[in-house]
Amino acid sequence: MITFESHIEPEQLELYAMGRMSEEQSVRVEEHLLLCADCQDQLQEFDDFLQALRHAAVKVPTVQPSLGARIREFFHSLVPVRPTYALGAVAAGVLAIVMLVPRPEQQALGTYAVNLESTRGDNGIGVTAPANYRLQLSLDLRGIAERENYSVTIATASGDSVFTTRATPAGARLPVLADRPLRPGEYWVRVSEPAAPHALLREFSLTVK
Amino acid sequence: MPPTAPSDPDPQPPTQSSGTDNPNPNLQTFDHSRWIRLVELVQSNEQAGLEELYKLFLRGVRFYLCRQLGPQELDDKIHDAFLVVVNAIRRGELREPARLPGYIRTIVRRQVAAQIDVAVQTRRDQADMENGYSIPDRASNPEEAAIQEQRAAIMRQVLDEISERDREILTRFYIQEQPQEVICDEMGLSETQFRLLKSRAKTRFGELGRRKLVRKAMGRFFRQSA
Repeated sequence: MITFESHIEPEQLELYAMGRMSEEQSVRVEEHLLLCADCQDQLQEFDDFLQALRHAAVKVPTVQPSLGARIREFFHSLVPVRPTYALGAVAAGVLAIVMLVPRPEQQALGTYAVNLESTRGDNGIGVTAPANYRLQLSLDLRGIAERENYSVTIATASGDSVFTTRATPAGARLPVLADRPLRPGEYWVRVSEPAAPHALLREFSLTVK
Repeated sequence: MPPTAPSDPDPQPPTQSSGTDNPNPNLQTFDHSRWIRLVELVQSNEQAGLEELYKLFLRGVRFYLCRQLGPQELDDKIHDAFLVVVNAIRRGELREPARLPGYIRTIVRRQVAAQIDVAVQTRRDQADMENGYSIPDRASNPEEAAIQEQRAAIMRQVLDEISERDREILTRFYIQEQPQEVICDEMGLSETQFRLLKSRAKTRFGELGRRKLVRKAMGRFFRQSA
């Protein structure tokens, strides 16, 4: 229970900072924050921590050996037994793979956390994410109609949809994992009514470089 | 809807000289009688009342607005909110003076909501004008960008260095925003264990990050002085 007289519990402050607190509880927290410099400092500290963590959440790309290196490695593992047969088998295998297996979609280099705010700092414009990463989006839902879930679409600047999903809000935020890596370009991240994806509720711009 | 524009002449924010300085500015009283007295002072146009109210805005409202909207034109926004509250008090619109902090919060929150609407509409208008193809470049300057990138690299290093379990807890809770119950269930933790581990992981991440940032800053300092 949050009261005026006592400071806000760290756990409660975290939930508030992450937009995961109910409206009723947020009222109490915000009234307390207006008056309590200690809790303001705590919240600022937590905001800094969260920002640092989100910066750090870009995973270092895993360096995969090239196809040639993998073939050589495989070949070397067979050489002591039967060099000629092994070479032939590997060559045939590689050819079959190249001919028959469709090229996979662009593989993600890791996951990158992106916070999209309605307005803060640059009025919500100018958020940049790296190309070819999965994006862990956290969308600001403040001020839009509350729903149990929302339809989320990522569209290119020309309006072509490249990713669509449904997501459930956590307080005033909407966490979305866009597991399809994006190519460099300008995108719109759109939040719509779940039953009518064309009924747009909010739109964020996102630059992928 | 925010309260209507005042008919009175605009009250001017008081200057900083005050005979009612609180010896500890961090210590705010939550006594309801304080707000009733403050409202009375503002209603009777007492300078001391305006000063006390403005102090509240200078710290608390500034913090809230800056956190929600960023630092752009912050002083103007604080001033606007201050005027709205003062004029509402003078017109007797605040029915429960003891609830003054709640009233201020409501006013400021409406201001934030209005600002969001304006920002969204402005962006939409810009996009319409530019066929949606052009996004203004709001990137930070090269120096800021380099500093941010350096910090991000250090933080990535820190995240790599903490234990796998710490990393998993931090990532699941703070980045993926998974509910606590889901994390406890999937990682086989009790609620208490989760809270303890999360708190420790946070501390470790913070300490290691601070240490690395200090070391980096020291290194830069020594290179510059050499």
